[in-house]
Amino acid sequence: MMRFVFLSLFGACAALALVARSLHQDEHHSALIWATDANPVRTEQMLLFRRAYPELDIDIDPANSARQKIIVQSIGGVGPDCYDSGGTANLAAYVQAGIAKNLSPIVDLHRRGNVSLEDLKGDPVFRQLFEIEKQRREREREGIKVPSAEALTDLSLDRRQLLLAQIRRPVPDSAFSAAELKQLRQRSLQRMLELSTRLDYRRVWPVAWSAMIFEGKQYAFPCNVWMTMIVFHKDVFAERGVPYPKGDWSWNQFLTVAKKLTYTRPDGEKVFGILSLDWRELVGCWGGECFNETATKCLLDSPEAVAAVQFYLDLQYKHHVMPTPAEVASMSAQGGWGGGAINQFAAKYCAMTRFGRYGFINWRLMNDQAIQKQRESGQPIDPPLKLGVAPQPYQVRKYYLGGSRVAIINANSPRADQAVLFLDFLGGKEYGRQINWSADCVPGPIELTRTKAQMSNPTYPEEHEYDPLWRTELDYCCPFPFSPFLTPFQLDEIQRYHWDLIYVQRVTPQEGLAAMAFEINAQIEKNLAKDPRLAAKYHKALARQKEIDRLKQAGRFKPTLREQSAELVGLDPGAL
Amino acid sequence: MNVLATLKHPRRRRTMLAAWTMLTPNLLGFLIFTAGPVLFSLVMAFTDWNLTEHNRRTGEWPHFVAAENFVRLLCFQRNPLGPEVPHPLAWGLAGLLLCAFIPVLLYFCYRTNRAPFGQQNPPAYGTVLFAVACSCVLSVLSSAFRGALAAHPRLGLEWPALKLVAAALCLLPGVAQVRRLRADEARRLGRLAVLLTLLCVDLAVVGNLAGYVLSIWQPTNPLFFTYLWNTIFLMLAMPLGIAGSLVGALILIQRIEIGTWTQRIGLGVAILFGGLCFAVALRTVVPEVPELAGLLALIFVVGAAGVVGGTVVFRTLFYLPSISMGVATFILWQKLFDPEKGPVNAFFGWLFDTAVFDRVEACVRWWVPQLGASWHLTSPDWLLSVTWAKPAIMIMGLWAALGSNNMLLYLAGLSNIPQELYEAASIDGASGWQKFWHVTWPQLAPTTFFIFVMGTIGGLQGGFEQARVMTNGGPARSTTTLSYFLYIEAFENFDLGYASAVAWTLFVVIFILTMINWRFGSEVVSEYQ
Repeated sequence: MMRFVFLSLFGACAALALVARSLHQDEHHSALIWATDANPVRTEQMLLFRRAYPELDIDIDPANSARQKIIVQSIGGVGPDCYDSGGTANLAAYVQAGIAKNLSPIVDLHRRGNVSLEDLKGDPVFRQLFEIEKQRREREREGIKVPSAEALTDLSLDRRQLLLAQIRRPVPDSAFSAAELKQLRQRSLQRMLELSTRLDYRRVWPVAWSAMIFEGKQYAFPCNVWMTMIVFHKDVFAERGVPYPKGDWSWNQFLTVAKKLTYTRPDGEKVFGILSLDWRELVGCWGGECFNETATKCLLDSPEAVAAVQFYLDLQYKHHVMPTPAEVASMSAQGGWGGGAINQFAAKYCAMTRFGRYGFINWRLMNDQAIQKQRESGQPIDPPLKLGVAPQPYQVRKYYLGGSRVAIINANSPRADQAVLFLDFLGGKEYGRQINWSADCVPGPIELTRTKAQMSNPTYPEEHEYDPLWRTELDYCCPFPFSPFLTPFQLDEIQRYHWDLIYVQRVTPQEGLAAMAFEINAQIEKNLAKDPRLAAKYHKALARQKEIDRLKQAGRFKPTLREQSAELVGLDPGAL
Repeated sequence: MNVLATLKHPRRRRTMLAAWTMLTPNLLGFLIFTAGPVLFSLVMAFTDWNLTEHNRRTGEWPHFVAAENFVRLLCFQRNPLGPEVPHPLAWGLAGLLLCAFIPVLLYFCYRTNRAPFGQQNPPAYGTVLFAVACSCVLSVLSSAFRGALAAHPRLGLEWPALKLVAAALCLLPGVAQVRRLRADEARRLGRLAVLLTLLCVDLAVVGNLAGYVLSIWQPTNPLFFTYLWNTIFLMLAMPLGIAGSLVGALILIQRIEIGTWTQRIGLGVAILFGGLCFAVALRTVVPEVPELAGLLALIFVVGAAGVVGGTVVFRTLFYLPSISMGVATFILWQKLFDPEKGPVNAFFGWLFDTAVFDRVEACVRWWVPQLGASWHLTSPDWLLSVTWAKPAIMIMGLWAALGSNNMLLYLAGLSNIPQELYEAASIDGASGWQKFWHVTWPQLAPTTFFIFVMGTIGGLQGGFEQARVMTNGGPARSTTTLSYFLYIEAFENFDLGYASAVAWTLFVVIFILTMINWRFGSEVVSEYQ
């Protein structure tokens, strides 16, 4: 009896497995999978891509965008086609794992000169472009009009599938004459060279290079470039009788303003002058550095760094204009995209905060929802959030830390050639406009942030005054410090440990930073002892550092930010 | 031969085939998903496999590195910045030997303490008093050795003199007791005294020299020992959890039946009404801590439910925390431990503001003038404090452990104790405590032994969820346990070979401790039985 029970169960499971197999998606028309975060603006970005390339499709996978998942899944052969990355840490891990596609051969194409069809004969990206050209020509012949991506979502499921099947149908070469094929190939070559130009890192903000380039090779293209500035509540400033900050201001001036903006509301809730800052930016503003020019030595124990960190702690414990760790922990910690800081600032727990332009995505949404409710209830229109933006203060110099969210192509993806076209889309004007107008920071290419029409969304005129700042201050923006002689995880772990002790005042800034620098330098020594190749690279860097020190003493070492960034990522500054 | 005979017989062959068909999926599952990965991790522990460097995409294979991972984890190396000493190896060996003596002396103390047939055991309190006396004497000697003899600022007396007086007071009861012993018992007690003294000397020497030896020889991975210490520290609450579970079981084994259903319902409603009145009154008296009134109301609600529903209600309520432990509970405790707005610190803040604690603070300020005139008791920052993060996690663990499976095991154990033993004890005139100590506790020895062994194994493996959800291993690595360290090495640094070595080291530690538990615990259990 039991035998029959078990056999029946086994048969039922086998039947279910067959049913599941039959529901498996057709690979010929499967979408590109983009592992990215669940930012609300991704929907519009995907629509724009589908409009630019109706022959392709894209979908996001926010659940699998963490570094560990990407590495394990990509190595296992089930990873996304392209994925977001931020900072050198992740890029190094992906490159070392062999799952990041090297884009340098494509990027170098337009610089070679005299590129012929013969050179691109076996190139999969060229083949993909050629295929798209053939499909477009075939559609023109058949009179199939491609509706916009937005219109496609309104069509019924059956009609949409039928239309997409007609648009995305592979077309054999035999459907065209020899002359037509030659013309299509020439157009594809032209598109390839344009693509190569668009993907070139030299048109991108230097702050993004450390997230795109590893050991002199390009592996990614920016989705956006971000930095942080001081965002403030205009109504809180007005209520406290403090004029809005305009232009450059020092940290001492900032402190005076923050003190006036720190008060207790009638309901007993305390309002702080500033919500949070990054101590590493303050170190830079005071003239300190995390590493020397060749990143062979940690310099965080310098007097400038100690003074900066002491100022940071004084903001919390002496002047009480910034919440202490305990006060931060007691604030709302709601999750979701962007985290609790966006909501804490919107709830006016603080008059100012240090945030990126992407905060406006949520703040606009909050204002829009409130205005909608006011309209429905017939109340006068009064948006709850009236925000302004000011540059971060300076001390000895202006210093920002920023970065870039970049897209990397999975080297082992069967749709890597299509994913290159997605990167091409990221470098285009339409995507750049979307990034600017949705306030998702600024686009990667510098030329897409030059004019007011590019930067400012007409729907939000109240932001127009501050939009140019997100572009002009990028000139002072540096990537987060790193050293090629440390894994980024080692650096992060050591910094976090010692910063925890400093932050809760268990040790003084002097002791904490000295211990931090000591441990970082000791870790570098340990890494060199383990890896002879790294040791050879280190000695080369030491020689370069000696040369730099000599030039500095002679007053002849004044590299631009572009040259510094190039040297950090292994590029030749002379080749820029 | 039996198998061959079975295979020859057709019916038995069919039966064996059916049995193997039933067992094969389970066996295959065990081999593929348990034994296989375990053996694979053992092999990985001897390689330098890093997932980002050695995978089919890079085309690189991991290399066999013998015990390098274990050496990296467990060994000591010369500290290049340490003091220059003529024979550093001798210092290292001396430190090792002194540390190795501790378990050896503990073993001999244990063996000596167990009385052979016909002799009586020295009472536990006597042993404790003797140990306290030894510690006082050795502390004085240690201070003298370091040249650190100092006077107490208020009493004006030398600290060493105070300690010697305390030692004498501890020894007096022992001296009176020794005079009542036989010669062989007195000799055994003398041996025990010598062993305890040697143990105290060893501990004192290790304590004084540890810092110096560690400045000469430092661990290749000091973080491993830090995380091992964190893991062991978090297990210190285990005895409290076991004791709490036992107390809970002793209370809940009683049946609660108060009259008829209508009487119980009426009493329950009365308790509920009374509780609400009390809560409102408390809210008026202590408005700063509204949570206290809520807590009181909750206690009365539970009481009312217990009166109506009986023991079952209380058993369910006690058991609920252990089955609801998860991410949601961790976040809830995070809010409870909120330093600014959490109810725990709100209560402590109110408590420390009372007149009683004002007096306590004044006494402490007088006794320890170095604290300064403005010192006062403050609520800790709990999960944000390097010192208090671990105790916070221990409190949360204790809350879950009190009514957990341990309580159920004790309930089952208590229900298996023969009532005749209690009756015999009553006839002999035993008090409640004597019945517990001489009947209940020995009869529960096997249950306690099992709970202790499982608690040790679970404790050494645990701490990951709390670290991951509540503190991310911080602040300053204070809540990183070995399991969380393993996760970081394996899935953040992708150093799978090294992480496997950590896992197998943890396995060996758990195995050794379990063997020690088994060796000595089963002896104690059989003695009780």
